[in-house]
Amino acid sequence: MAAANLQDPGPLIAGQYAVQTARPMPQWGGGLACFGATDVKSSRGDYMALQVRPNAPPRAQALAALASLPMDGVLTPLAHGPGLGPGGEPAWFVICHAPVGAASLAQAGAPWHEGELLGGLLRPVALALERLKGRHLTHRAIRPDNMFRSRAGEPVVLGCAWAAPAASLQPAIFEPPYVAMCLPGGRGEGSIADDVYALGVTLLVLATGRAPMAGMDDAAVIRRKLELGSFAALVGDDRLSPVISDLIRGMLAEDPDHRPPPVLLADPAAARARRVAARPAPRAPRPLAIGQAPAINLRTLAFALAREPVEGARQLRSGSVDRWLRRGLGDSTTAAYVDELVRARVADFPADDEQADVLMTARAVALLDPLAPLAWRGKAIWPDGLGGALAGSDGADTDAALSELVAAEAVASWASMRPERCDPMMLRAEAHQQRQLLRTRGPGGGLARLRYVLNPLLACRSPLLQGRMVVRLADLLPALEAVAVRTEIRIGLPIDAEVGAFLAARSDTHVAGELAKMAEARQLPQAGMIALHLLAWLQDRQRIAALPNLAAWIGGLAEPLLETWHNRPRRAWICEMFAQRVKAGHLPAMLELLEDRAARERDGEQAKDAARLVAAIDAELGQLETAVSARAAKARTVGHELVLGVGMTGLTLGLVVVLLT
Amino acid sequence: MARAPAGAAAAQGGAPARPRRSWFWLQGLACGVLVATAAPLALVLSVLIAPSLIAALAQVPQGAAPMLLRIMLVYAAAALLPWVPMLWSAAQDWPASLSLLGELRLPAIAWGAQGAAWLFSQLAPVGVRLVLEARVRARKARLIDARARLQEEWGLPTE
Repeated sequence: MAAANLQDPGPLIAGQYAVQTARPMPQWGGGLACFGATDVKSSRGDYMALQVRPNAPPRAQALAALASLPMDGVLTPLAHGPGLGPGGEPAWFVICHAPVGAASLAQAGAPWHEGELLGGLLRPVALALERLKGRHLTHRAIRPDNMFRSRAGEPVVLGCAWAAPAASLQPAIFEPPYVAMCLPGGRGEGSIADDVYALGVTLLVLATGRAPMAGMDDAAVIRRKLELGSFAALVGDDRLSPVISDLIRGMLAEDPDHRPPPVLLADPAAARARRVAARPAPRAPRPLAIGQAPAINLRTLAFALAREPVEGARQLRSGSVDRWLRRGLGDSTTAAYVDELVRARVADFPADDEQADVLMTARAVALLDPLAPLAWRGKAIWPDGLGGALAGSDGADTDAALSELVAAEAVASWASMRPERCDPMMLRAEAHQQRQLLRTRGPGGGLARLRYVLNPLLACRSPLLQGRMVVRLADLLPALEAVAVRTEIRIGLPIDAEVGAFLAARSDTHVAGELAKMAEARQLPQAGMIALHLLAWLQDRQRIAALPNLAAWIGGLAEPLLETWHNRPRRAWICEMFAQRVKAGHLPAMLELLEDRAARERDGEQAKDAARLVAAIDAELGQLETAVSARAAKARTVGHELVLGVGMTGLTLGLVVVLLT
Repeated sequence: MARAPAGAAAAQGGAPARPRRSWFWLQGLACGVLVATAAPLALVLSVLIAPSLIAALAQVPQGAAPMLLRIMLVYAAAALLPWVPMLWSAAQDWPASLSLLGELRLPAIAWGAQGAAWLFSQLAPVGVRLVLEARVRARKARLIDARARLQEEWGLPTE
């Protein structure tokens, strides 16, 4: 592994790490494509590069927090950045230390004995989780195939969990049901208690030597956990040592508040002693069928309503849920609350208001199961997983559901139903802010803007970029410059809806205003001028020397504005200067030429003066044409006076001569 | 130089025009006195300025009669100035007056001077007109040139 290929380091991540796609390491990727990497400064090759999936951005907060201060017991990220994938395609990579010589725990087929589980797995992982908790982070990828150890007896190291949205790669059995039911990208950062749950399932898998609930689909796994409780559903009839059984029972508690914290798990004896009594959920003798999902208790009813919202809303409004709660489950208190929800919906909204039904169902889910996530039109997410859900959206249906969820500020309604488990005020404020972004018109707003705001490391999805990896604002102009080489692309604006949303999300607030103006521009040259304004600002800010192709693109769009100069010699001079600046690829200089307002005003004033002068000339010419008779009269008068004058002079001279002689 | 009619001046807001006084009756009176007191002199003068009177009468429809009359009389006066004493002495009685007219020299001088005056009064306006038209043509050329320059520089419509 240390034999790094230094002849062809390939694209460098953070200017230091060369990804060697010819050296795949699938056993360490934890579900992601993984390759060997080399530090070109130290020539060490014991690094790995995890390739980020296009619609699953890495965890920006965790990357920022861990890259500067690595910690023991977990593969922490060292750097991340753009590179080239194995097929030469643009890709984003997260660099970690490679667990050299270690194998994943999934490869250990035989059951582990108790001492190994406690000393080699539980204690080091609990300490690692405690360290993560100390930095307000979670791991959310704890499962045997993402945990490594060199050999038996050595402490286990947690794998990399930073190159994809939190918990997005976790199978349903390793996550609590209220997480597993969510969209993969919408599971949110969660809490350290969710890591404890996953660690509990991992303990179980390693203790028994096999994965529980094998062959069941995710919905069946979740329903079984909700019916029986996670411990009973996962352990089933397996025989575990009392110590392991007690630990797992605590770690798989349904309520995250009831699970032991990592610091307690570091001392298994103490953790075993900590038992929080949880009352088993009452079950109805006969299930309530909601679509394909039968409900036998409150949580399975909530799950059924979340999965089948249309049928659920119908049964809520028809009163069958209320009757089942009262007669089947004997829970008249919850039934009264549900009835109140239904009455409020009927009273406040028209009968055919579909969104009111969706909102009522979402509130009913939160009421019936306070642990449940926000469920909207069959899609479930945690509020902090909205960004990941938007990024990983599998189509227009999910986009529409998430858009409607934000527009209705459903998070605020959901939070108000379970105030003891969240901060409703904060969530309401966030939901309101997200709605404002969604309602922003033009290329600087909408769902795309929200997607980029909530995912700081999501690549821009504009088709203009032709697959180029643009994650940071600094990558945008070089990518546009590269695509602008093709002249056939220079028809429209270089800022489409996706680029606009990306730009607005990654930069200052004034950009959104400019984008709104661009959307309102009636003609392409005016829109091109605003685009030039934005891109020039970006070039100036990023100190990029020359962008000749992009300049030619946007120069072509803004060129008609040069025709608005009135003074032709000046226009010719400006055209020549503009062409020179386009060739130089300097957008601010182009903008300066087009936006010289003082010169523009002077030009306008002078053009008006010229028009006035021409009108005066025309008037005088007309007057000269029509004054022929006046001139003839004047000529006659002047001629006669001239002749008379000569005669008078002669007469006077004659008189003088006569008088003198 | 054309005098505006009094009504027009008033309509244009100028000072109220004074009514023109007619001196025609006074001129008639003077002529009557001259014929009554110095009939031979009146005859000589009538013969000598006959071309002026004829030309003035012919110009009455064009409105240039007074000016033409003035010009021709001034030229006649200038030409006859050396003969005024002789004319004054000869025109006291009829025979002297008739002999003066019979000599033909004096009428020839007077009529020649008036003919020259008439010719000058016809030619001078034409000359002045030529000068004025030349100036107008030069002005028009300058204006058209300036307009073309402005049009070229500012992209203004041709007409």
